[in-house]
Order: sequence, then C-alpha cells, then structure tokens
Amino acid sequence: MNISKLPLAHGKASVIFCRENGANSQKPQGWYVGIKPARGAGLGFEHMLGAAQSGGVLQLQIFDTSGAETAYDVTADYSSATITSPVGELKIAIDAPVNALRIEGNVPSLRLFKQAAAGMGSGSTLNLPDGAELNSGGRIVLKVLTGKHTFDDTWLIKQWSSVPADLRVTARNGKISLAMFSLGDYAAVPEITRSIADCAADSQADFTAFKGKLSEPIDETEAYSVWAFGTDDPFVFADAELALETALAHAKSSARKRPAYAAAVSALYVSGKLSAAGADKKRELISVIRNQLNWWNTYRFDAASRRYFYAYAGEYGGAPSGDSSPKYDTELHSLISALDSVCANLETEVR
Amino acid sequence: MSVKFGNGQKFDLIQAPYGRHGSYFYIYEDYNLPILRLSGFKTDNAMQGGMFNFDIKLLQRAPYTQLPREVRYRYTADEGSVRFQQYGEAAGWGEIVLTDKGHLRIRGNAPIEVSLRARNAAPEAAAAICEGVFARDAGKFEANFGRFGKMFFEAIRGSVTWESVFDNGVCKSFKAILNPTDDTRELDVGIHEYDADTEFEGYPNYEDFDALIAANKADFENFKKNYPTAVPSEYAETAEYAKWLIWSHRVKPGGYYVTPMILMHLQWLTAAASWQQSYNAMAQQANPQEAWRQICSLFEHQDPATGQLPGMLFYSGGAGIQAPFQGFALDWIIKRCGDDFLTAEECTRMYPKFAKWVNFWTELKTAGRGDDVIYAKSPHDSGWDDASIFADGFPASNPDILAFLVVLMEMTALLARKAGNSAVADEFDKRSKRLLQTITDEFWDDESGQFVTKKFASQPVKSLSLATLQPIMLGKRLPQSIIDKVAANLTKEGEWLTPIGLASESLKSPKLGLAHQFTLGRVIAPQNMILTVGLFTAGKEAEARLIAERYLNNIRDKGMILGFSPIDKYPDNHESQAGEWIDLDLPPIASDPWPWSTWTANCFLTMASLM
Repeated sequence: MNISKLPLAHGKASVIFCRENGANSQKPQGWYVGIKPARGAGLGFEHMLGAAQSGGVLQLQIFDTSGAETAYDVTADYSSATITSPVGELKIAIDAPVNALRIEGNVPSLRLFKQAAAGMGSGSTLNLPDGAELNSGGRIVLKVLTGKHTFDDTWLIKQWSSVPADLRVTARNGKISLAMFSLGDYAAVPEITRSIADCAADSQADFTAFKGKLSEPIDETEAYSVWAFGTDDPFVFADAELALETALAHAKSSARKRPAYAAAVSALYVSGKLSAAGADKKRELISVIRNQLNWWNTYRFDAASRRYFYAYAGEYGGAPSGDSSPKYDTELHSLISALDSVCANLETEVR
Repeated sequence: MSVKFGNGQKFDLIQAPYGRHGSYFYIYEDYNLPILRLSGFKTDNAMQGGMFNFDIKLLQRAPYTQLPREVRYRYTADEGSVRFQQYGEAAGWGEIVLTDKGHLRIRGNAPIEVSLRARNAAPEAAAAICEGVFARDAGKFEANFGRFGKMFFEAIRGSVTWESVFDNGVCKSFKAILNPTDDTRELDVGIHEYDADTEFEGYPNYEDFDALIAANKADFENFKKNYPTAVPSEYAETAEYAKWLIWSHRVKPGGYYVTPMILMHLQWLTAAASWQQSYNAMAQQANPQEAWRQICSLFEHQDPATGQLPGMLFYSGGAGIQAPFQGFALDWIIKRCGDDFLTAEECTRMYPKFAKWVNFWTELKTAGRGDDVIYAKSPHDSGWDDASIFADGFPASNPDILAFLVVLMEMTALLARKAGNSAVADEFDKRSKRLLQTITDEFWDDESGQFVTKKFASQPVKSLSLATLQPIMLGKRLPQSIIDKVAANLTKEGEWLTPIGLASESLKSPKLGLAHQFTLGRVIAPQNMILTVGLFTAGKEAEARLIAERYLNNIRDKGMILGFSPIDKYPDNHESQAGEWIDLDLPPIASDPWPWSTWTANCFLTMASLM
C-alpha cells in the first residue's frame, strides 16, 4: 500500500498513521500519528477547549544512541506499517477494539511531538506516570508500555494552553512499546491485552471480511479506502444492508438540494438490493426521502405551471447570482418522480 | 422607571447592544461610524468574524437630483423601541421595535436602507455571506445568508425592494430599501429571521406597532418583579439598567434552548453559560421559584450517562464544562427567601439530578484517592481560565471547586430529605462534611491565610490568585480562625483589595496580567460576588459591604463591563513588564473596550442586595 497517499487506518477505529505533506504550516512534512478527519462543524469553543484534532496530530522522530535524529523509511500493507532505520525498526498496527495505535520496536528512542507553538486555547496536557494525555477538542492518551518517558506539561497561563506536546521515549532493555488512544473525555483507559502481531492480523481479517461485502470487481486500494474511511457510493457494496446504509447517508446529506442521489437509489431498487435489505432500514430510507419530497412539494412547486423549481443556486450546485426568479428544471421533476416511485414501491414492501 | 439610551448618553448602544427578551435580533451603535447596526446572535459569534451585520441607514431625497442619499441621525431608545431622527431641520425619522416572535418591525417617514456589511471582512468580502434573494411573490422577498440563516422582508405600509451585486458567484453587496408611501409618507416593514434549514410560513396578522412597544415595556416590567425593589438610591439607576441588560439577553426556548436562559453577551460569547444561570438566579431574590427554575435550567441538558452539565449552551448546541455552582446558588436563595418554594415534587424531581452532577465530579474527575477530592484537567473546570492557581499545570486539585462540591452535596442532601429519602440525604450530608474537613485539613495554609491548590492533590502551587480565598464562600461552615484570616487578607489594601473591588490576582503578584487576561488581576464580577456573599454569610458583613461598595461604585460610574484593570501600570516587581503601561485594544464592537456583560449585571444586583 502506498502509505504516503492513504493513511494506515481501520474501519472501526479513529486512530491513523499518516504522512503530512507540509501544506499545513503547523504540520511540517513528515510522518504522524493522528485521528481521522472529523465530520461536522464545531460550536466555536476552540478558543477555550482547543480545536478538535484531525489528520496528523503528533510527528514521529527517531533518534540514535547519541540522541541524533535519524531518517527512516516507511512501508505498509493494509494491516500494518513498518518503519526501518539504521538504528532499528518499529512496527505500527491498529488495536481497533480499544481504538489505539500501537507502536513497538527496538529503536533507541523516539519522540512524538507537535511542531507548532502553542496558540491561544490549544488545550491542556497532563504528564501521567505511564505516559501523557492531550486534551484539545478531544482526548488523546499516550501510554508507554515499555520504555522510559519524559513529557513537559508546562501550562502557559496567559495563553490558556500547555506547551506543545512533546513525548520522548527511551528504550528499556532495547525495546520500546507504546499505544496512542483516542478516547471520550471520561472514558477509562483500556488495558492493552493483545500483541501487535495479533492487532495486524485482526485488521487484515476484518478487511478481508469487508471485501466480501463489496461488488466485484474492485481495486484493492479502493476497497481499503472504503473499509477504512467510508464512501458515498452505494454501488460499491454487494451487501444490501451496506448499500442501503450508504444510500441513506447520501439521502440525509441532500436535504434542500438537488436530489442527485435519486438515480443511485432508483438503480439500487432495480438491482433488488433495496428490497433485500431489512424492513426497518427501508422504512428509515422512506421516511428521509418522503420528508424531502414533502419539502419540494410544499416550498418548491409552482402550482400554476405545475413545475418544480430552485430558489437558490446553492440548491443545484450553481454559483449565487443576483437573479431572484425561480429556476425551473425538468430534470428536477424526473429526479423527484423517480424518488416518489421508489418510495411507493418500498412502502408496498414494508406494509 | 425606564432605561433611556441615546448617542453619547450614559447608556448608549456602543457599550452594550440593544436587545429584547426572546428576540434573536439586536441593535448596536457602530464603534467607528455614527450609525446603528443590526445583527443576530444565533450564529454570529463576534469571535467568529462578525459576518452577519447590517448598517441601518436613513435616506433622504437629495434636492434637485431626487436620488436618495444617506443622512446623519441621532437615536434614542428605551425598552420599548429604538428611534432614530435626522439631524437638522428635515424631519426624517425611523423606529425599530424588536419582538419575541421572530421578527422586528421598522416604521418611519423616510426611506431606510438595511445593508449587509461584515464587521471584520475586507470591503470586497463584506457581503460575502449572501447566497441570493428569492422573490416568489410581489412586494416581499427572502434573502439567504447561508449558515447564518434567512430573512424575509414584507411591507405592511410602503414597499420594500432590494439591490444586490454578485461577481463570480460571490455577493459584493446586498441592501434592502424600505420605502414609505408617496402620499402619506408612511413606512412599516416586518423583517423576519429564521434558520437556514427552515422556511417562512407567513405572518398574516401583524400587530399594531404601538402595541408591540407597549408589550415590550410590559414584558420588562414583569421581568423586573423577579428582583427586590429595595436598592440603595445611589445604585437605583444602575440597578434598573442591570435588570434591562439581563432581560434583553434572556432567550426564549428555541434551537438548543429548552427553557429561558440568560446569555452572557449578545455579541461576544453568545452562550448561556452554565454557572451564569446560577448567578443570575442569585439576584432574583423576589421570586425564588424563578431563581430555582434558572438554577435547574442546565439540568435539562444533563448527560444521562455521565451526569455532566454542559458548560456553554449556544443556540446550535452545548459542550464544555464549568464549576458546579448550582448548590451555592440554591443555598443563597434559601438563606434569603426561605425554602418554601422547594415543594416535595420539585425535590423528588431534582435530587437525583443533583446527585448525579456531584458524582460526575467525584467519580469521573476523581483524584483517585478513594475520597471526593477531584482533579481539574483544565482551568475551565473552575471557571478561572488563566488563574495562577494552575501555574504548575494539571491535574490540579483546587479548593475552590471542592468548596462548590461541599455545598452542592449539602444541597443534594437537603433536596433528598425534603423528598423523603433520608438514606440519600444522610449519605450526601456525610460526604459534604467529610470533604469540608479535607479542605480545612489539607488545602488550607494557615501561615499565608490562603487555600492552596495542589498538583496531583499533593504538590502545593504557589499562587496569589483571588481563587485561593474563594472557599470563604463556605461561610460559617468554616472554622472562625479561617474566616478571620481570609477576611483580613481580603481587606488589606494593595493586595487583593483595590479602590474598585477585589483584583483576581494580588497586586503584589509578579504574574499580574491586566490587558488581555481574565483572572490574572482584573477586577471581575463573579469573584467579587462570590467572595462578598461568602464573607456576608460567614458573619463578616462589614467587610462584605466594604468590598461591595467599592465594586458597586465603580460599576455605577464606569458601566457593566466584564472586568476592569485596577491599576494603570504594572508594579516594579512584575516578572516581565515592570513599570509598563497597561494598554488595551479597541475592538470595533459594543465594548468599552472590554465588553459589557450580564455577568456584571447580575452580580451587581446580588451585591447591591447586601447593602
């Protein structure tokens, strides 16, 4: 797997190992432990709670026995990554049941740190007996399983922030092992019970099982991306439930917009996949679509000319302009009719 | 009594915006230009850029050309409406009444322009949030401002039109022009606001304009009944303004709010803060039922799994955490009003929620000692965002939070007992007393006369923060020797006591931060209120009044400002800025330069009730 392009990730965990390309000035080019990008908007608490962590969070450095930084290479398959350096190796895998990124190897020392100077409200850190905790719009716990660590938890009173996180781990008896957890604010830190090899094997098994639910043929890398990060395309799935789930997610995100998903939903119905899904999910899909159809019928239907229209360019993906008149669109009528037809058929099935 | 506003008056609209209970709109005077501005608090947090702001311009037809031009006006206002009047001989005027029905009305006798102009954006981006206008029916139209919501303009008398300019899909300007009738020169327009994902369903029966003004006045009069009328005469005018400020920041149920709450600001932090609902309640001593409702309002959002109350509630959601203030507020209301308002039904409803809130702190934020001592992982847990008690970092066990927990446990016990559950009552009484003993045994330093924060619950943090004296809020629960020492510390001139009240950090501290810091020296309302109430209930009434008088006098003279620097220059022992002037930024919104705030208003009223 080209890990420069796609992070090491897992469909059932939020932790990742990824490469940042330096486009973000606060994240110089390099390899990072991190969190899958968050979805949804924040509430504007960032100045107090710190911005939510997303993408690469802490950069990884490796050092030789004299303390000099050492370059390293990273290779990966879909279940783990291997770091190779002149001073030793590290293996990285994801322990999905406890949402932890596992790092283990025989390098003399390593460092996980934030480059950026603490900004206003970057959150607080804690130096724990066995690692460190970062609280910034979310909670990351770094647990050192093997090795000796140092961590600076200095609090900068006037900046409402701790100094940038900087965990340094030195090998004990030639070994280093640590775990990075992404946890709820008050969740207990889980115990680590599995070997890193078992974690990698489990990831591979989960990915393989997931591939069985996909339509044939599909590129391995694309399959991995769908497994690890999700997709908007319901046709990727041979599995009816997954196909409907994806169609449902697409429908939910299409409120007050041109229902482009209508074609996909119609095709899914024709393929039999919607009918093969469970009744509860079908009812949920019907409910979402009917709400949207009601909106079109109530607020975007010209009774005089019996045509649907858009009020704003944003409703059809256009560029806003000074034109305040309704925009009629015959294709819109087709999309709405298609959805109405699918709903009517599904309603018959779930009756 | 009515509150009067006007250009250059004691209460103008540069300093605090003009609002109305239940209205999402507010009006303020532009900091740099002599015009009024319109905005809404639902989505436009000043700290996020101020995109949703409109100029309100009065126009006159220029002689000879007959083209409308902007004219200068003066404004006056009271709780009923805002009126603006053209300068000079010409008699152009306009008047705005806010309502609690999702719209405002504007009337007048001259054209009025409402034009979009963001506060912080470059001129070419000042109207960028406008995503279009939709005019389905003649004479009225809807303007779409994206995530900031929509507005619907409808003329009741006169007409309303708009002009917009778009370039490459970006709005360069948007203005609505409200025109009076040609014959009678009358204009009356409704402007409705609603969320981006909702639709306007029409407003078929517009009320009489003057009736709306009267309704606003009546609503304010009714709200004032929550507060004692007896106020020292020297504070009467300020108290009236404080009540107005709170009333104008009171939100109705809608969005994330399920019960009326009080916002901290309409412009800056447009949130109903958890602990502020409690100290709003503390001022409402003429209506303990309303005070109780206010205290309980946060429990509508209690996390059923963890018991956590959110720290901040915005229109769109809530998160974060703040100190467990609710017990202290309830204890105060009971001390002032008795506890008859606590019916058995209410106690039965609320004691499990109070218990869950206590246990959230003692179980999920436990210091792991097997007792009820907690860890704060962030200063926001205590409310003192930049206090020096956290100088050594986290986790910290700070006695100000522990003191709140002592009272919260005691109030939980009281509620449980009144609900008939003596087992729960006994348990929380015992825990309250045990935690109090822990505070005095482990977190009190008799030599300095301060309570001490401890990192890891064991390593004392050297600090001259006012928070080290805050556990005086425990009143007579504390040993007399501790009360005496804290009172002595609080009334020693030049340390925490200043001519304008208590400084949040001792003036002798090398860590003072007085320009952009909150609780590193500025004289702020809640701490002055907590400590004067604490001294008062500890029997140190003279000391409480000494401090309160200084604080109240300053607010009376300077305004309902968030916080004040008590000195002009840093002292010579300052660690980095010895002898430097304390310079403040001038932000271009309602502020002075620190913003006016309801937390000052409600604390003013509570402290005035001690006098």
